[in-house]
Amino acid sequence: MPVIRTAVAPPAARRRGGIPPYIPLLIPAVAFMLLVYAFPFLSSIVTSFLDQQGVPSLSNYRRTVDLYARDIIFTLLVSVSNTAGTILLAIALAAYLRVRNSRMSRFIGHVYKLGIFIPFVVVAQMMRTFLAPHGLLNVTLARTGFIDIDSPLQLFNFSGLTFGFMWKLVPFAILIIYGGFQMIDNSYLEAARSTGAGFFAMVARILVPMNKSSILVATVLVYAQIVSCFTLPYMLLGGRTPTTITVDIAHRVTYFRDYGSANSLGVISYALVLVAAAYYLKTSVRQYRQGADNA
Amino acid sequence: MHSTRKRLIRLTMELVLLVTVLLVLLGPVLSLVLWSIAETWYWPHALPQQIGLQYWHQALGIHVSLAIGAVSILPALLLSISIALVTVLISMAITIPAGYALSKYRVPLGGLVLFLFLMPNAFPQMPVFVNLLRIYTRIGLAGTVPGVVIVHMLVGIVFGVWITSATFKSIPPGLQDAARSVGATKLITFWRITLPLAAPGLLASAVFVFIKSLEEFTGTFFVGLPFVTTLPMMLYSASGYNMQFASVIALVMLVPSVLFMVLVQKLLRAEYVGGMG
Amino acid sequence: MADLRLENVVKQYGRVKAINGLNLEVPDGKLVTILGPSGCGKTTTLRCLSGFLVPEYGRIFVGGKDVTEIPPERRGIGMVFQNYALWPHMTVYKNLAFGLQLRKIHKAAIKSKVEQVLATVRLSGYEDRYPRELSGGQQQRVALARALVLEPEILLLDEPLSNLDAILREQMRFELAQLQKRFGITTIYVTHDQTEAMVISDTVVLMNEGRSMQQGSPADIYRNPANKFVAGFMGMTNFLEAQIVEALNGFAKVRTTDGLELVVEQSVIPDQSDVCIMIRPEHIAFLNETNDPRENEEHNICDARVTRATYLGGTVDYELTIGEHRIRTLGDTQPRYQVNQEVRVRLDSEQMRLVCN
Repeated sequence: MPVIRTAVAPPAARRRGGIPPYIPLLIPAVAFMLLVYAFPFLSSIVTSFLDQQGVPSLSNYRRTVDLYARDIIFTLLVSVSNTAGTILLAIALAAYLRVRNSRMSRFIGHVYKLGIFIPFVVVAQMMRTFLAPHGLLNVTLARTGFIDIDSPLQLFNFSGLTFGFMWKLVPFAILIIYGGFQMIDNSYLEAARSTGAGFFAMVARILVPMNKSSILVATVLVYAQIVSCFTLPYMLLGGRTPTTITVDIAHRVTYFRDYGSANSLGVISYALVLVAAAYYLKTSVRQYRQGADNA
Repeated sequence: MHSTRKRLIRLTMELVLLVTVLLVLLGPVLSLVLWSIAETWYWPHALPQQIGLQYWHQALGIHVSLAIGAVSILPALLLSISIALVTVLISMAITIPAGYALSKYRVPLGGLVLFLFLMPNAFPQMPVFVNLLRIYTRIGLAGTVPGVVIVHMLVGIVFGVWITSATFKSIPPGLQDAARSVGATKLITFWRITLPLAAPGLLASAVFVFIKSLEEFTGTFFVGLPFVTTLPMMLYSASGYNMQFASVIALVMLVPSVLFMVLVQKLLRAEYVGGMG
Repeated sequence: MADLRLENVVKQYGRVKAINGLNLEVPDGKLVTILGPSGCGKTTTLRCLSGFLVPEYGRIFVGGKDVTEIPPERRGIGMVFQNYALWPHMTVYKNLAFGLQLRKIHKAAIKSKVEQVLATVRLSGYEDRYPRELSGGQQQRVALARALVLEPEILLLDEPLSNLDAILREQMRFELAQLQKRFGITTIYVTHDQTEAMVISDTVVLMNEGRSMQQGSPADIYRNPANKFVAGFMGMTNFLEAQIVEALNGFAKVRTTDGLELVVEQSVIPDQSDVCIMIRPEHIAFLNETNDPRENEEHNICDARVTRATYLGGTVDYELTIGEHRIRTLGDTQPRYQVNQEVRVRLDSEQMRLVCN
């Protein structure tokens, strides 16, 4: 055993001085985000509560409600119904991909992803040609006798918007939900099947309850994308009414330079996603923390 | 007998599903292709009366004719690619250090920093673009290419930070410690060990930011129009007056998206295989 | 080559002291094992030695030179990591050559050094393989070669065998010990496996809760544990709570809590009356009444009853009840005692030890 030299005073505690290395590494990114994102974000909220003279007031909101109450309700309706439709369809298809293992299901499993990678501008242009009164859909339906050739379906409205959103977002939702379904061990499904469960029972009793979180994440992301989307409603609906909040914001800015109303509409769009955003932020930060602890 | 009938029903149902999926998925794409080659298409004909590549020629600058209301998309394409390249370069220069810091250090107030990078995914970005336009107008950035690049960087950095930090986090810290123990300084370790191992993920991130910039619509619409005409802007304005021309642009824009889809799946698989060593 | 010395090293995370005043001396060319349960501070000690952590107090000397605050890349300490940490994007050759290249050594010299070291770990011809193309044992040897090729003054091994299967692990133990002797490198070996520590070490340092519990040769620690923790960690053992009745030089008469009187031969008797008697299974002998004429003359003979007998092939693992105590011991397969059989056993007074809690 070495001798402990108690007579010698231990050296003083060391302190490593200087700036921690992550500060210079993070500064450019954080500064950029503060300047280009956080500042305009906060200013959108502040400006919405100021009138033209810069005095705090609710005049923007009064004008907004007068002019756009219908559009706000329309936006909410589109977002909620399209989210619900998207998620239900995605669950059904993801479950089909998970449970069935046939050549057809594997083929669908490859091609369905197409929509995820196509940007909204292109989707919008596709829908403009496909859903037009004289577009491919109406022509085909008329030719096959489903509709009268002289009264084609008018689709540059709620229905067309729904078709467009779902065309792009169902694949996206499938990707997330199917990912969750794949984490479930086959033995659970086999056990269910051995007790006599059919497809629907397996979806309702095993797949969905065991994947609440991935379904919830898909729901939140799909909903936020629909509320925020400008391109599709702008190109599909244009100046028709009712339209979505995002289109109204563009009108207020490009035609009237009315930043007050545009910002109050913007704040209302924040409010529409508030619950979803809170959930998304909470789970993402938590996930990141867990990842950091494991590293 | 009973089970064969059941299987037949199931097969039929699956076939109906397959056909429906294909029709819904490919119908709009087909419509776009038809429009891009339709030189004459009168209602209520099922197919164009006259097809040809006139609009493609025009758009790609092979023929120049004022007769059919289409112009060459090459300047817009070139502008889009240039903006995307600059966006990628600056974004990566900013996101690689930030992603590295977030993955390797326990940053105090790290939660707040994360929050800042997640906000743009959670909330609508449009009001931000609107207010950027106001700020830009004041400082003379409205309708300029640098102004557009900054907006595209906003989109790129948010995704870039996430992908790069996940990439760095997937590298076992022991590999870096091992380099230090054989005499490599922190800088050499980063350069010779960390960076090569992170390369596939960083490349994926760069490609992603590039594609996002090529496709960016809303931000460019607010801060760039009417002076900065990127490909999506050109598509938007063409779709107002010329269906064929707009469809050609849309199909051109489809190319990088589909390439990206293929690349992402390749890269992910490579990462999965390569990360086991 | 150099010796290694730690003086009063303290490393704390917040208020938790991961190392709490550690002193340690490793003479030149020796192999010292730091042994302990997980969380005992052995990994933290290793990271302080390698330079990835700087202790709050204390000093670390290599060959008499204070290296406490020198960064890892300038310490000249070789390290073998638990999961090998071979760089997956480099071949075996490049993994080994990397450190040499940083030292600006001539290309031909690098090549000959790498080949030479690969030969000593029996991996000649594997230069162009990637780590993922090697088995666990081969990866382990590449990791060792990567450290050895730089001819370090000190070699640190962090649980180097824990990822191998049992048979390979045993084989590698001997191989490692041989290589270490051949190169004569001062080596610190961290492990939680006491058998491994016994096999390869010159000295074992047993750590717990950030402190060194005992340092000594494997045999010394096994036979003369400083306390109950050490005794329990170094292999299967029995404890009997007891009080010292009488202490003479080299002898102690003790009485267990259930009234059994025993004599213990021990050079240094603990200074307190409440102690624990430690006796290992192999130091309990069954007495065959017909064959042992001396039985009446001796101490430490007691009646016991077999409460469990487990056949292990070469031996039988018995659990005996002596008074209120249950004791594990090993017996030959002949004669076999049955459960509930009454037996007489002798506890070896030379091998018993009195330890404090």
